[in-house]
Amino acid sequence: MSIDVRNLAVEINNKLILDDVNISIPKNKITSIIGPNGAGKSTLLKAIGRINTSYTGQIVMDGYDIKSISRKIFARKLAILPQGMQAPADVTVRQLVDYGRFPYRSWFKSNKKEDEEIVDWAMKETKVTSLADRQVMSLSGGERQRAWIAMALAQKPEVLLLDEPTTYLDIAHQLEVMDIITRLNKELGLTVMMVLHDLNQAVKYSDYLVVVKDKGVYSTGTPSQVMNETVLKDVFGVKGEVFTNSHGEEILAPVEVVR
Amino acid sequence: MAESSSKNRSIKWRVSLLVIFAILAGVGFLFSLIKGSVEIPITEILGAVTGNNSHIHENIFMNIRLPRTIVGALVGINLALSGAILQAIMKNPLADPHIIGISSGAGIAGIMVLVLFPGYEMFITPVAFVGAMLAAVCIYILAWKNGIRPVRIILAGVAVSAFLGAGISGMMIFNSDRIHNALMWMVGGLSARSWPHVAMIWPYAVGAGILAMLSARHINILQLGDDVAKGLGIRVELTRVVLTAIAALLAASAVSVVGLLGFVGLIVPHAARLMIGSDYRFLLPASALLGVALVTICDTIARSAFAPVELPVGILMAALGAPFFLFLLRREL
Repeated sequence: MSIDVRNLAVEINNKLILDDVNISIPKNKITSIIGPNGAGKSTLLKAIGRINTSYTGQIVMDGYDIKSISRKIFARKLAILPQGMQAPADVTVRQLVDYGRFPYRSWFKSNKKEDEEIVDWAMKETKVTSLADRQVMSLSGGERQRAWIAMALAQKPEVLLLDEPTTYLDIAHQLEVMDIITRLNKELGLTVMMVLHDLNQAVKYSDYLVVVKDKGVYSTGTPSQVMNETVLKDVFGVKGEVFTNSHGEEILAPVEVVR
Repeated sequence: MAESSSKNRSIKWRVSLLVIFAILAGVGFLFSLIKGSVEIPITEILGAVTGNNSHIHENIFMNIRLPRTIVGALVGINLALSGAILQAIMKNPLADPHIIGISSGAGIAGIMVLVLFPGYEMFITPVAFVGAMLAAVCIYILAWKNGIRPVRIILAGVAVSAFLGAGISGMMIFNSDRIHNALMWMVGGLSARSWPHVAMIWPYAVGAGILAMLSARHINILQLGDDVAKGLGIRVELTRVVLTAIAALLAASAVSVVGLLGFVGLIVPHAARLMIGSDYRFLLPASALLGVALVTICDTIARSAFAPVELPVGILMAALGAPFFLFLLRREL
């Protein structure tokens, strides 16, 4: 499922957050949005995920303007996990994942057996099956994030959007979450788009990068095309080095703030 | 939300709780039928229901006890459901139609009809509904600033409530000749409520009650926050408006019949949530049943404990509810 963003501009409380954004998000790939705080990363993600619909311009998914698709149909094609998700204290993992089936239900019809199978499958994919009867809010940060990803998976989407899925997690849980996302991309062909804070993670796990700066797109491309000392300086305002580690991965090492 | 135990709430457990609540509601209903200035033995009640005995008490039962108890039960359902819905959509554990000012909106509109247009009582509920919706809109506008914050809702509700309360008092002072009717409204009571009142409330209780139950799954999703709810395909703003209207209709029809009866919508959904959890498919019916139990039992106590003086049930409810409110305030905010 390809997504094209055309002439996107977003204003929030009369303040321009994004202006004239034009990008294409490649199908079946992992795309990361990176950029400094306040550059409009989350705003871009929320527009594509149809959480914020008050924008000008067009977002086109498989040839259709996303605003023309019914909300429930859209939720079957695209799942989005915003930041800082909360659930009532007594909601269990299984219940939460089951909420992911909401777009497939109506007052008149629901398929209990199919829903149950998909919920089981989603929990297995994200390794939360053993936590099924635990309360979501009682889990550790990493477990909780995986439970939310399972809910998104239960939507059976073709596109998964995530807003900083690893923020506030310790490093082992960060890598665990990123590994799950990578595996879902490889095995299911899920198109993933996420906002990432950690540049090294963005380089390591993404096929494609969108660099956002000052309300607009600074550059796009594969990590090796995009990431260099100039981007670090121009976009993030740091002097840094890019080198290759013993695994052949590019590593960004910021040295100091550019004054 | 409640930081309840990690006990796994299985479907079976929750269904059995619902059965217990239904029994409790039935007991409250019967208690209200039997107890009072005249005790009516249960055999006579059965006789009256099956229509095969005419006794001296039948008159009391059919014309006073039974309608009053039905009104109490329906009011309990309406206020409890209204409170449960408001708590979810306003993201506020302290939301209750009375505290938030929605009841005052219904109240001032209703009293306007009573005092200024006597003889048009049949329009009280629709007019009260408009008043309740206007109050809800005011509260949203006052409290809305980059989203809804629980504390702001309460403060806006208190302000709206105080403002409307002043309006009600003013109207009563200028129309002191017709004050008695209105005075009963201020505290909320079931005294002298009979079949016409049953007729006033039941269509709304049934209609809005069914709508509320049908919305349970949507309310569940809304509890995950607006952004997640949108991501799951819910039209959040529209859903919130519709649910506010349902809650306002439930509250308005209750207020039209018994006046400003407070705290039912606060106490009942909380008690229900502690026991049955936050899944609205269970929480709504649980609240409705416990609402029946609370109002019928409290009304029976209020009218028989201090005989021959009959207390309005609103006084007892406030005596119970205010400390409960403070307890929640300390725990949740």
